[in-house]
Amino acid sequence: MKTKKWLSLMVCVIASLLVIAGCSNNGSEQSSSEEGIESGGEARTIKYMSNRTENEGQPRVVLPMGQEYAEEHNSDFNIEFEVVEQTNLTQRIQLLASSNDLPEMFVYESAQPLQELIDADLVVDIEEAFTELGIMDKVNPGAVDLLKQLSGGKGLYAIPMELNIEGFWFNKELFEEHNLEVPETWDDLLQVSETLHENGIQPFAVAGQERWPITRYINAYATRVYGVDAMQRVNDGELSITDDGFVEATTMVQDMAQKGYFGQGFNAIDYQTANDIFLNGQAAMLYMGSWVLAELNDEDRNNIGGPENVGFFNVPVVEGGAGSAEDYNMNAGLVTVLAKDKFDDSMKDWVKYLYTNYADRALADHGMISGLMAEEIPEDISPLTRLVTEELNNVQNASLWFEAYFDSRKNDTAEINAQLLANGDMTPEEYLAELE
Amino acid sequence: MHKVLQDRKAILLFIGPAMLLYFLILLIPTFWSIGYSFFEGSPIRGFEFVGFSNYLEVFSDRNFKNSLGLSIKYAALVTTGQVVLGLALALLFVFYLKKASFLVRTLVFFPVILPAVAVAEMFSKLFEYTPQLGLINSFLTSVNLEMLVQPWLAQGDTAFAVLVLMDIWKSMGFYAVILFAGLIDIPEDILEAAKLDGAKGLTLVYNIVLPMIRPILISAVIFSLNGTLKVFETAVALTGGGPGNSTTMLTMYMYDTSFTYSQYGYGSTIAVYLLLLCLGVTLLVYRFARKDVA
Amino acid sequence: MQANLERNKQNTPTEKPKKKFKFGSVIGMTMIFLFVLILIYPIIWLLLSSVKTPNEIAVNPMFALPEGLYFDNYVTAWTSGNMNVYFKNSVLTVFPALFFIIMFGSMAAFAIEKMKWKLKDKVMLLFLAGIMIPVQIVLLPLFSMYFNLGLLNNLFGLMLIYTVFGLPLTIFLFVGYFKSVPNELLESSIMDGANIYQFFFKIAFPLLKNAIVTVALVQFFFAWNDLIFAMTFISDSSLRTIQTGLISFTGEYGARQWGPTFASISLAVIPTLILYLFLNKLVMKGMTSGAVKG
Repeated sequence: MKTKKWLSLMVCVIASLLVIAGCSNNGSEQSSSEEGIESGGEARTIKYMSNRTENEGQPRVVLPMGQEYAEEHNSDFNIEFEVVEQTNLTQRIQLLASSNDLPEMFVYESAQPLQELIDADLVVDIEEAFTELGIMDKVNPGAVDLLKQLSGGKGLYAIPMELNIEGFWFNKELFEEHNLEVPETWDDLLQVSETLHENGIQPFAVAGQERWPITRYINAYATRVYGVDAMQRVNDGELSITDDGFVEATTMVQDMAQKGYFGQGFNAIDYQTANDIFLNGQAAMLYMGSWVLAELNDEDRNNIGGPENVGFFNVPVVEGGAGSAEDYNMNAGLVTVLAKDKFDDSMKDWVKYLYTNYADRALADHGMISGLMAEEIPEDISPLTRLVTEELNNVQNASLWFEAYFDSRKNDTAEINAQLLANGDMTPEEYLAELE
Repeated sequence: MHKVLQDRKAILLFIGPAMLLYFLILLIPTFWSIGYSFFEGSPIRGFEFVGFSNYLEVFSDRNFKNSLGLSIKYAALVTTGQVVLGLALALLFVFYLKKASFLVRTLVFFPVILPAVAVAEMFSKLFEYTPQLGLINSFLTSVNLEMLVQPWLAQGDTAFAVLVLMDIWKSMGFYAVILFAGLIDIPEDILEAAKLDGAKGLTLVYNIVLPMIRPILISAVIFSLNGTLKVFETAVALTGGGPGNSTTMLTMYMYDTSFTYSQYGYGSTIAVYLLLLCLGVTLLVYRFARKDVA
Repeated sequence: MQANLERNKQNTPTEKPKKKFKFGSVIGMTMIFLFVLILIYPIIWLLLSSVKTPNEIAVNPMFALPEGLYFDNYVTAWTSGNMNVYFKNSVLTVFPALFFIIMFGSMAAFAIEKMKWKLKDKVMLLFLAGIMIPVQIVLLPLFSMYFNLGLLNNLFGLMLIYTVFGLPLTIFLFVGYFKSVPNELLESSIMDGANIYQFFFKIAFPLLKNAIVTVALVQFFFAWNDLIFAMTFISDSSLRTIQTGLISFTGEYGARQWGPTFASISLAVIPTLILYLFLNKLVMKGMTSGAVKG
């Protein structure tokens, strides 16, 4: 009796599985045949890979432009969009490279991983291509300089679809409440922090879990001691990472963390939480790149009086240091590159169309600042976005972030150990010795 | 009789499909990767033959030693927790709750179904310190144990402990169900006879029940060890290997080496060592189990 | 030694009142109730969190009740999160894989345990080695193979991987279960004129039912929660499975929209829970009736 029941159950399960399996086959057949119809004729489908979805970041500008391009110029043009998580990006590109099937257009990590693609001759020389297409004047010269630094002097191989300045965002109201001035020197900054700390306000919101926000402080101090080219000179062998200035910088960051300026448990705070701490008035300052504008401008999340109540100041100078207040730390985010073996005429036409119009569209539709030149700045953009655009014009010299010249292993060492350094589990000397 | 059991066609038909897929999808790629372990490079940079130098490199690689130690410590703690608590639950089902255990059995299995990403998120909120105290810290405050309130996930030791706790919590229901399936197969009359002989409580469990479910217990231990030595997703989701590298296990170090540091050859070497470790541990458990019987 | 004695002393007296007085079992039941509450709390928490506004998630304590029902999270999850598609993809991959795992696994285990041939021990060891192979090691070679075979971005290809990675443990468990099937049964049915296939499908396979339940459960959650294979071999967003769908909510600098994430997890977990509750009832019925009849 029970065996029979069991058997009938099994039969049901197996039958339903077969039905499901059958459906799945049908499904895949259908989709492939549909594709067959679409790609019939002389269609050109390009693959575009990004770490953001179609409603975020750059894809929300590029994809609609792709449709318009298809309507206006080439009805067979089509973008196949693919989202890859950032932590999985290098893995996927390596796998695709091993199969000679890189996407036509994709975002990538800017430093060492990009240099490997350049060495393997897999990506397009942007300077050459853009000059040929006559759109080189569309690229912000500052951004070109930055990206050339990133490729280790190999040339311009990435398109700066994003350009950020970094510095301290601060809560104007909290500063006024405690009669604080915008700090001009690092000592001022410490003074401000101490006052806030004494009054029970956490000076800085730090996303220690992401690791890189900690090394940003080391870099900020070091570039004010040695000037913007501090890390470049380390890379060239002119400076040693164990020199006094770096010891001073790491000691400074450790002290600030130990004094409680970063708050307790900052090593377990992720990016989003750190922003929320700042946007809810629990911390007075936030060191971050201008990509954070999206959050600062978000009315739902900004609970400290909207973007009007947020101010920005550049990294304060260190007395006796070589760095000046006109030097900025900058960042191009993930860069966009083009696969060399697929850069044919229809790709060129699309690239020309895209980058002729991208900057204006990005700024007008989403208030996004790029390393491409916008023809005009719309009237109605947020005051903070305007402020950043203006600051970008002030930039005299730009430096990259702390780990930019490290290979990816050393990059990880620097970031991982930064948590230990800030925690007090590692001395500044030990930290720097590991980076030699 | 023997003819039927030695029927080559039948044997081939039975074992063929499994064997074929297994070879194509698991064994060939594995040996392919073992091949890479004698090379240095990555798919982008190209490969260069280096002989055994990758195998020697691990001995001077501090990160490797660190993650190896962590993996072993983690596997030992989590396996003990999972199997012991799983067994305790299974015994509870069979001997205490009996027929009423259905609901509890069902509920205990819930955490097993939850995606690792979701579980990790929940634990990071449970042990939260800033901006608000999480449940654990709030509880400690309310029972006047403020000195124990701490940023659990921001310190190496405690982050590791939370990870261990989380993995035990997530999988003990799984081992409970497996061991339960073994326990209900114990014939009732054997238990009755033992009870008549005066065995009860822990004595009954130790002398009668455990030997009866021995094979399934050993399977559980082996399975748990092999799972925890290769822990990846839960650790990535909860701590991402941090703070510092206090929760970077071998699999994560291997993945980073292969795909982030683009040292695919060296990454494969680490994987081979991990494979040898699993193999060694499994054989050790087998040996131990066999000796115990004798 | 002393501790042991003490434990024994304590054990005997505490054993008895449990059975005699109802008071003891009330305490026991309360304990179990609390325990179960802790176990299922995450799911309640998950559901509550999924209807919180972004601001509530950021500002209010994680354990506060939602201020209202903010269903926008579900709208976001459903429209931009595509959870309906991901769910279908997961079902279409995992269930056929389960079917093949059980069929191929039981057939192979039968050939290994019950039939007579020379290489069977070696084949068994070969399959066992599969338990120890870290999945990360096969990624690159398998990716190249799949690329050349056109199996990338193909749910069938992913299903094959789940099948193969489920086989070693399945065969290991099935071999164990087949050991308990008496050889006399095989002999007598063959004497009665059944051939080996009839014996397998009509007698041996149905006898495995407890094992099948266990194996199906184990393999279901392995495949259902898989992240690494789905992430590597599927990139077409219309073919993503639930787990890969879930992590795509993480943004560039570690940004994450918590509300929609919780909503998506809920959407992913609820159907699984219902499915599990439904199957579990059937499964447990089968198990207990099997146990009663020995």
